[in-house]
Order: sequence, then C-alpha cells, then structure tokens
Amino acid sequence: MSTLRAEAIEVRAGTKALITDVSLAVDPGEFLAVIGPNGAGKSTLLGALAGDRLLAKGDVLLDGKPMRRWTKRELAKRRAVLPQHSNVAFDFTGLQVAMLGLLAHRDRLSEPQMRALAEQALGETEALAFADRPYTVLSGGERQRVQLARVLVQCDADPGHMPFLLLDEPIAGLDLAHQHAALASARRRADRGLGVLAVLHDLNMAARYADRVAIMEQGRVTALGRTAATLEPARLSAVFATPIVRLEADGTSAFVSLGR
Amino acid sequence: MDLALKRPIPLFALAAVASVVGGLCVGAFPVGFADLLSAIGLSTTPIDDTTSVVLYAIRAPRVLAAFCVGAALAAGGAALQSLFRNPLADPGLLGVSSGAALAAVSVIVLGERVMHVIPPDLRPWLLPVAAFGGGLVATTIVYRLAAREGVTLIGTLLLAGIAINAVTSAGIGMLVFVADDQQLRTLIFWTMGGFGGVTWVAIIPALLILAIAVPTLLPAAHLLDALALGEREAGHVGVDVERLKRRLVMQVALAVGAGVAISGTVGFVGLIAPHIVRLLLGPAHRTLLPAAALFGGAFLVLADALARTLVSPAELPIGVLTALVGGPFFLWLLAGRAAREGL
Repeated sequence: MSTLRAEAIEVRAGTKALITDVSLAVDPGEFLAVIGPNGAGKSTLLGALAGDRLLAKGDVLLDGKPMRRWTKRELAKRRAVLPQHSNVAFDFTGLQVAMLGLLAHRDRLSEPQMRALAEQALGETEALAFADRPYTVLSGGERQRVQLARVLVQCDADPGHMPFLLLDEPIAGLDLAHQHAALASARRRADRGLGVLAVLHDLNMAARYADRVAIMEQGRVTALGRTAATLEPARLSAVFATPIVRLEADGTSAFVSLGR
Repeated sequence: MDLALKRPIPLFALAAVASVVGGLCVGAFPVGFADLLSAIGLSTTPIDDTTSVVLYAIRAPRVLAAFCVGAALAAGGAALQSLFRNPLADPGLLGVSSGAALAAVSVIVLGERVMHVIPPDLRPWLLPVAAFGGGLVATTIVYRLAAREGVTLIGTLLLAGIAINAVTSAGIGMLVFVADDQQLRTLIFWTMGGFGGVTWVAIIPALLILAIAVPTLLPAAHLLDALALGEREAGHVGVDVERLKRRLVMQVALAVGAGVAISGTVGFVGLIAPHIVRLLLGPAHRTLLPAAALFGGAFLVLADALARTLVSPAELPIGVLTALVGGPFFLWLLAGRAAREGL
C-alpha cells in the first residue's frame, strides 16, 4: 500500500519559516481537506508533499523513500498535482493540455489510447467542448476544468497504480455546479483507493466531501481529525477570527459567516 | 489546407526540396533544370564543365549551407521560445548569435596567434567551436538573469539580450580597431551575414555539428510541450526540467554557434519560422520542430537566392533581406500581443 507522509518538516523562504514542525500523512482511500487563513502555509505544505519544496528540516516520504530520491518520471506516476494558477504558453488546445497529464505514460500507451483517456477526463470535468479550442482563449473557470482533467487523467492512466492526488484550491473560480462536480471527481478517486489532499477555503465543501480535515495556522497544523469533529464552530471562529455558526435545516447543516 | 494540417511534414519537405532546386538553378550563372537533373545522375544529357563547377563547387555548398543554417536557427528558435515560454525569444534577440559572432570574429582577428599550436587537421574546427562557446556563454548569462523560479521575466529577458548585444558590439568594435584590411573584410562579412564564398572545406565541420544538434531536438518534443504548462507543472507530469534546460541551452548554443560559424549572424529566421509554422500547424513540437526546420531552411535558401540575384552581379548581405522581412513581422507580432494581452 502506498504511503505519503510529511515527518516534522520545516520549509523556509530565506530566514522566514513558512511551515514549522508539520507532520501529516495522507492515507490511501481518504479525502483530506486542508483549511486555514491566508498565509497559513497550506500551499507550502501541498508543495512540500508534491516534492517541489526544499525542506529545511524533516522529510517527505513517498512509499518510505524521500521525495528528492525519486525521479520526476516515477513521481509523475505516483502523484498528480493541481496548482493554484496555471497559464499555458502558446495556443495548445484543451485536449493537448489534458494529454500532457499522460507524459510519463507515453511509452506504455498508444496515441489513440491517450486521446481516449484525455477525452474521458475532459468529459468528466465537462470540458469536452474545449478539447479543440486554444487554452488561451478559455475563461478562468474553463481553464481550471481543463487543468483538472489533465490531473485526473494522470491519476487514471494506470489502473495498477493508486497515486496520490494533491489539489491546491481546486474549486477557486468555478461556479457552484462545477465546484461540486470537481470535488465529486476527487471523492470518487478517493473511493477508488487514491489518497486525496485538497486545500479548500469553503468550509461547507470541506464538510461535504472530506473524510478528515487539517487546520493550519501560522505555519503549523493546529487541528487534525475526522471532518465533523474538527469543523467546530467555536474553533473555526477563533481560527478565522470571524464569527462562524452552524445552521441546521432539512437534516443537513451549513456553516455561515455573518461578519462582524 | 486540410491536407497541410493532416500530413504537414511531407508537404513542408516538398517545399524545402523545391526551394533547394530553385536555389541551385538561379544566380548570376543560370543553370537549367535539365542540367541539374544530369548533375545528380537522373539524366544522361552531358553538361559542360562550367555548369558542373558552378553547381558542385559554388552553388551546392552554398545552398546546403543556407538550408542547414536556416533549419538550425528555426529549430533553435522554436526550442528557445518553449524554454523561455515566450514567443518573442529568438537566438538573435537573446544575444546568442552576437555572442557567437564575437567569438568567431575574435578567432578571425586574433586566431593567427594561436593557430600554430593547433594541429592542421583541427584548424577548420577552431572557428565553429569558438562560435559555439560564445553562443553558450551568452545564452547562459541571459538565461540565468531572466529565469526566476519558473517564471521568465520578459523585460529582463529582452534587456539582458540588449546588454549582451551591446557588449558584443563593443567587443567587435575593439577587434575592428586592431584588425588589418583583409581581416576587416572578413569581419564585416561576419557581422552582416551571408553565404558568399562558402566552400565545402569551410562548412563541413559546422555541418557535422548541425547534423547532430538539430535532429536530436526532436526526441524532446513532448517534454517541450509540457514546458508550456510552466516549469513546476512540467515537473509534476514527469519532466526533469533542470536537465532539459541544460540540454536545450547546450544544443541551441551548439546549433546557432555552428550556424554563425558558417554564415555570420543572420537575424529573424529563428523568430519568424517557428511563428509562421505555429500559426499554420499549432504549437505541438513533434510537428513544430521539423516543420520549422524545413521552413527556416527553405526561407534562407530563397533569401540567399534573392540576395545574389537582386543586384547581380553584386550581392546583398542576406541579413538585410531577412531583417527587411523579419523586422516588420516582429512589430506586427508585438502589436498583436499587446492588443491581446493589454500589455
């Protein structure tokens, strides 16, 4: 079984510590949401788990092996990453962008197979209409759906592998229906056995889709546990420094922030 | 158009062959198509000695050199544009060509002082190797300055290119000062670019370098595609970006340096050819790289043919012609980009 875990890691930018003493494991088959205020170190943690960041202390281990000892190609088969903002240079089409997710699998898959996988992923994110359109002319939300398809196809390329899926604010810029669709896609991957970690700002989305929630504040994980137990209105109000209440209606609940 | 989009490479190859045939036939001494066929053994009609000499000794090396240099500049330009994620990158603008030119001119002016320590067989290699080194140094400086954490700063990129060009022209100016008359003629030819007086002996080392540096770009095509996502994202899908960068910078410096060693600096081919091909065929490098190389080669063969026929029997410097086409095209690109991105 695959494992991905950070062990007491510290990431610095110059002399400033961005995250300090963070230990966290993403388990296969779970959806772990990371929430917290701006600048808390959520994206830095995701970058460290992706193997992008130099660690000042500690180690990120994938299947027990430190990230820096994996080749890029082997890593690409074991984890997919959706970054926050993505520009694409030159007029690549939606389909071409999605197919780039299969780069590490080119030796194993034929061109038609890759095309079919990419089209399937684009269909899943309702981005099939953008398959033949240049990425550069798409709107922000449309681009995000193409990028999500690129990442999903990277997860689906080899059914024998259960990679990890790391999503940095995957629903920022998406309309409500597509927010649900995107997180449902991630949820399905988790149900299939992949480990999913997503940085989210929407508490209700975290409550709806995540198995576990990690709360980050000032570079540290200050709470980590089952979603329902961790998303406590009193704790959330303190973390986000604004009153947050949980409203119950029709057998479901929702977090509401009323402002000051 | 449909055909061009589905099977573009054979079509581009055909156009390239046509340009080469044209390049071999036209000139101060016109060669008939029938003579050309005889010369390559496809017809048994005998050809006279003058035609034979013009074709084999003068025109064939010249056309071949123009084609290879054009192909190298175009493929190198396409690779640089992907590396910098910037469609305005060009071996000339980035100072690669002028870095190579400075090194080549140094060899011309100062080379005699070191020539005697080099074995005679290796002497033809001194100039292309120096040009390659000069191109490599210039590329490395510009790249180091402009690429920061996966983002290429276009302002820094162009300014660094301008700075490199200024330094190299200063260097060339110094060399002009110490050069004798014969060296001065050679030197001016180098800085303006051209294929006049190209001989087999002079171009073979550089052609060998090009034959290795240009086709070996092709296996990197999919990796170059991924670079369009950004360096970090390319890493996420499996590209060892640092290794790819080092390899590309080396190869482009090698190709452009070898090109400069043959023909001096020829501007704008590296900018225009990849652009036109991208407009026609899209940005995927598996078609872009070979198509741009064929297009760039054909473009320079035609430009060279024009350069030696327009004011025959004199010759225009080829750089004048490419700049005449390239300058306005570059302005048009900038205008389009400004309109699209509101820069």
